[in-house]
Amino acid sequence: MPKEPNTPRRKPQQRHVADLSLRLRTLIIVAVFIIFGFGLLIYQLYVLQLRDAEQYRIQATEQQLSDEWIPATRGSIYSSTGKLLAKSTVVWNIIANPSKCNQDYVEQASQKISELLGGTPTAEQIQAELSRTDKEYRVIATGVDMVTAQAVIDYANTERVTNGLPEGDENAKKEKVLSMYKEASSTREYPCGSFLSSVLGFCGSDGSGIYGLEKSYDEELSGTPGRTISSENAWGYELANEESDTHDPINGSNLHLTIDDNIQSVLETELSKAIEDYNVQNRGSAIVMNVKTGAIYGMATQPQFDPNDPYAITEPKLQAILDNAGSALSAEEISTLQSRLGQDNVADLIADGVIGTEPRTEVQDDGTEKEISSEKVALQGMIREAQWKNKAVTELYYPGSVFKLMTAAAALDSGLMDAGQQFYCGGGLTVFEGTEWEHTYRCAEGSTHGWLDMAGALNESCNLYFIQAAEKMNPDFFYNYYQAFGLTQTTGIDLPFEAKGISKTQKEMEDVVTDLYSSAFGQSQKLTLIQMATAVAATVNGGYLVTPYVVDYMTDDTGNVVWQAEPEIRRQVVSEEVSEQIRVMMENNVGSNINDTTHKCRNAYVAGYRIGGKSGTGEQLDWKGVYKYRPDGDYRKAISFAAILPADDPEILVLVMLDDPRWIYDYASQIVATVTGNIISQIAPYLGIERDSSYDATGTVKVPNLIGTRWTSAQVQLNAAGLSHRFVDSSDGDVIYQYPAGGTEVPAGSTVYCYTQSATDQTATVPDAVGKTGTFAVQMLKSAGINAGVSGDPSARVLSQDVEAGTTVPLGTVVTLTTGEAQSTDPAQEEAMDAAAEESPESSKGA
Amino acid sequence: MTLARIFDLAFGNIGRFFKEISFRKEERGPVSWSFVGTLLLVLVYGLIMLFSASYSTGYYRKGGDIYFFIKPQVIVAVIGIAMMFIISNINYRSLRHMQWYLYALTLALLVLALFSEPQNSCYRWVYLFGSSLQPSELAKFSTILGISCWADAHYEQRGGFVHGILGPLLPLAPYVFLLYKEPHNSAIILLILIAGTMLFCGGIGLRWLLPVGAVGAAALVYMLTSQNNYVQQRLGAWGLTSGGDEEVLYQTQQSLYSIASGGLTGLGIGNSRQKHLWLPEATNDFIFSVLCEELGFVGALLCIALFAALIIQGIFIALRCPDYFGTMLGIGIMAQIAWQTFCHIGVVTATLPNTGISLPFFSSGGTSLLILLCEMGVMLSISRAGNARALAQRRCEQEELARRMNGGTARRTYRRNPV
Repeated sequence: MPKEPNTPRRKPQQRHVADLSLRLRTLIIVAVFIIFGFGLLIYQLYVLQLRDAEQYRIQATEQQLSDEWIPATRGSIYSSTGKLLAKSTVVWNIIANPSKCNQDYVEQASQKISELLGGTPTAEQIQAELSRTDKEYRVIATGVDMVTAQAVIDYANTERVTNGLPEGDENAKKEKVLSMYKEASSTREYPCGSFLSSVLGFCGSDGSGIYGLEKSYDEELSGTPGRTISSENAWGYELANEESDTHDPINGSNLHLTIDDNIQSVLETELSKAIEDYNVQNRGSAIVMNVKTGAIYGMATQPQFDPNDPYAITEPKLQAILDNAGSALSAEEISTLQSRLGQDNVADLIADGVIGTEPRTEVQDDGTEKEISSEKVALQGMIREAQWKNKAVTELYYPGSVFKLMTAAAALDSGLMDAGQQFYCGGGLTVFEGTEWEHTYRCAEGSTHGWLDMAGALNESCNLYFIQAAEKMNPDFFYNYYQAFGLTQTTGIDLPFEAKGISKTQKEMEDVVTDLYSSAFGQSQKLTLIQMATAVAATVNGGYLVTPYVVDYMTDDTGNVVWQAEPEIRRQVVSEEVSEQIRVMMENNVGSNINDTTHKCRNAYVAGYRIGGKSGTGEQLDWKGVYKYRPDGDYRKAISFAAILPADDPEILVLVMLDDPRWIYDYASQIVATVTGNIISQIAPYLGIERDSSYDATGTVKVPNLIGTRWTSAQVQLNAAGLSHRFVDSSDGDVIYQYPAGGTEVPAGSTVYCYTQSATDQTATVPDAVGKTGTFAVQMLKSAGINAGVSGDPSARVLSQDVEAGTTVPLGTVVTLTTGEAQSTDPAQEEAMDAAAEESPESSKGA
Repeated sequence: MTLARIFDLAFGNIGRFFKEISFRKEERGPVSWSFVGTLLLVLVYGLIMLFSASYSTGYYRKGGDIYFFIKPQVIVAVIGIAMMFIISNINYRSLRHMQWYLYALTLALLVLALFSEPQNSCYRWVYLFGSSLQPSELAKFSTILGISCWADAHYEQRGGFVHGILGPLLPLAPYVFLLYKEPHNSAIILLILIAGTMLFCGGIGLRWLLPVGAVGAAALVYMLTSQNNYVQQRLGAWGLTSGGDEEVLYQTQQSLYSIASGGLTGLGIGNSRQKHLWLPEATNDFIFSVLCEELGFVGALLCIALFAALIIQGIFIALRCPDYFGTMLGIGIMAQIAWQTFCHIGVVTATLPNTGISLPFFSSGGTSLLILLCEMGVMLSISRAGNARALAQRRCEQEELARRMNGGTARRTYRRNPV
């Protein structure tokens, strides 16, 4: 290498030695670093791991532990005959987190998922949801069964190669491209549709009960959900080395009701017929109750909603008003709304005569304006609430004259008077004469009854007699009994939203004499039907106030009874003797001869039964202004009828109420008594209520001639004759044709088909009854519209029928079936019967 | 001729390197085995923790291979230990001649990294011979070597501004610029911390350090805030100041969950739950969190104590070195380990703002581990010189003693014990 002479030669490297100051500085800085630097870190670790660890640890646990709920199946509801009324099915919802879905795969995945789900929702709909990458929770499908849901989730969780390399390539990057999971949910089904819906109630979208039994027994029905607690990684996979903790769910209990679906069916049918026939504005309600135990055999409110779709409005008139929102309301529509929803409740909505569809503004307390929903939306909400209400338990009515039963019982039990006590009815009683509160009490239709004893007063429903009875009792006694009948409290029935009623207090009765007088005949108090049912039951069952109930017992998953209702007697209100006297008077009201006009409640009579009854036509006194009277000028009514049978030792109470009927003779004794009679004629034989010993249920009766009779009276006549009826074309006006004709001898319990529009027979085809047992064959023919008489043992098999099967005959034709112990055509059936016959003696021995 | 100078610079240094590559016999003492022992403890601890921390990530993110991270790490560790012992036989002074090669190589790789395939839009890696490599790791050693060389060469003038500040720091400017472009802020911070420590300890530009440090700190703050404005968020839950309800970023939050879950004695080795994908970068920037979760406060203290022991031993090796260059080199290497450890633990415990810094000997990363072990080889080399001088000194002292006592050469005398 050439060297430049003038370049300074590099000196050989001189070695320097680290001096003392360097060592000192270094040692100091190391000491400072270790003590303060590492010290700081150690302090921080102490804080995080020991001092404040808890808060972080809780958060960490929250994120790591997957706490999955395993839903419990909601219990089913059965009628007393075992008919399934409500059941739950567990279904799954498929949820996606679009923000974590790889958008390159969404289209392809949507296709496949839609395919797996059977086409609904469509691939386009799924793709639209999965493409919403700003969202973290989108419901892709609801109500999917377990297998399908799992198939979708498995598909979504499959790892896919995302970097374009072929499957199996070692550099292929496999990952989850979709983020989907499933959530359990359940659907509640009501197989019988709207049947009993006012009692059953319904469930909300979260599966919890909102109304009815679903609400009052929500806890028992819903059971206890199970849980699985496990550690998982950030992708939601369970950690292999951690144990998961699973608690099985406890399914909800099944409810078995005291309500008999057959009785309920009769109630609902008769009630909705009555509502249609008598143009009832504000629904009707009926209760059948065991007077001794309080068990409810039937509780109907008509019209009612469909719990499978509780938000749909079932009353067409109301739906029409909603549909026409925005245009002027007709007078009829206003009347409908007022009657159905309450005059005060709708006052604001109808003030301008139009149901508005625009959002409204409301001035807040602080003066600011806030937008609230339109009148239409508000009305829709009110209508829904209204249709869900169980009228028998939640809504109030004026009991009217039915309440006289309680006044009478109280008066007798107080010892202040006996049944022979007479008062004079002069047709009118004026109080506060000459003052602005002047009021004259009169009896219905302005009758003057003269001197009456208690039985007569109850039969004539004399207001003035019971005013004087209350006067004699004075508020002290009267109110004492009033409370004892449970009328100032709820009855404690196991249904939600029970109303307490509105009653005058003792103080008010003492201060204002009209409060006492009006209370005496049921015109100052508004009560629930169930309150009246228990009070009436107390007057006739020996004086005991019972707690009504609809759930008989509960069973668990495996059918074991886990709870059994115990009839509860709250107190004895009146003595056995008084109860006896009231029963006699009630039976006297109905009598046993519908042609004897001295029995005012005779329209409720049904052949062969000892029935006690009391009607009540209550005036709806809480209507204000021009609406105090209906458009036809009559006063607004709530008509009800209470019947007990058998009258000497009552088993059941039938209480029917129609709220605001609009008919020409809309008095309780005319309308509701008939409806009650119709109900009794069907349920009493079903329940096996004891009949008059003189009545032969298997014999024949003579069909009365109904031509020219008003259709309501026709019903009464047929009930009294021990015959059923059906109005074939319509129920309006007079009967112009009937089949079988008047004077014909037919088997007891046959159905007479009545025509009010045309005199032409409608026809039915005779079914083949040969080989069936007699009783079954009768039912079979009856449902085909044909009456049947059995010649021979009804439990034996039908050998022949006098009208050939397949013949076309008029509705109501009587076919005679001949039965006998002939060779069965079906050996298998015979064997089964033999086996049954062999078994029964043994079991009776065992018992 | 300048040409000659360039040739000399380009090739002459190779010759000088090989000329000085071996120790002279009297300078070659034994390595410091206590240092080696501490180092091996740290390394084994690190490998165990890495396996525990990485298998879940390997399984889920790397195609079901639970050994994805630990296998290369173990291989590198074995190779690295061999390299360490080989390098310990090279005279560290010969490295002076290699500094410009290293500098040029580092620059080239840093530039290359900017044109290589990015990961998470960061250009920190170059791909050579089928493996990836982080040039920033090389840059740290290059800086240490550069400053040591400069300070040694300009020992007398080292207090002044030109030779004390400009001289050693100017070559760092391209590094900082390139790292800034990558971007790799944590590497820049570490470079500055290492350089600052070396300047301060070595007494280089001592009077200027305060103002320059202030300017540097201001620049650092500007750099961090200009590039991403969420530094405030990155400041975590300070145990010193807070009840802990600050907004912390997801990563930091997950780290805190891990650390807190550990408690005093931890969940047991292998039992971390947070490492199952909750904790981001569990194998690297947040490995200490896993350690805290599995081994608790006790395990964390042990880890910190091991690092403290390693640093103190390393610093003693550096200070015992017979020449200034070796001392500076040793201080630089130990500063790197100290600062990296401090920053890593600081970040995972939310004491420092969140930035990705690996824990030496623990975090996965072949380049990092290999270079660290090579640096340890340099430390051992330095220890040989120090030990040789100490031995020589002791021998001198013994001879002196013997001379004084016997008046002649030291001769061992055997005396029979009276029975």
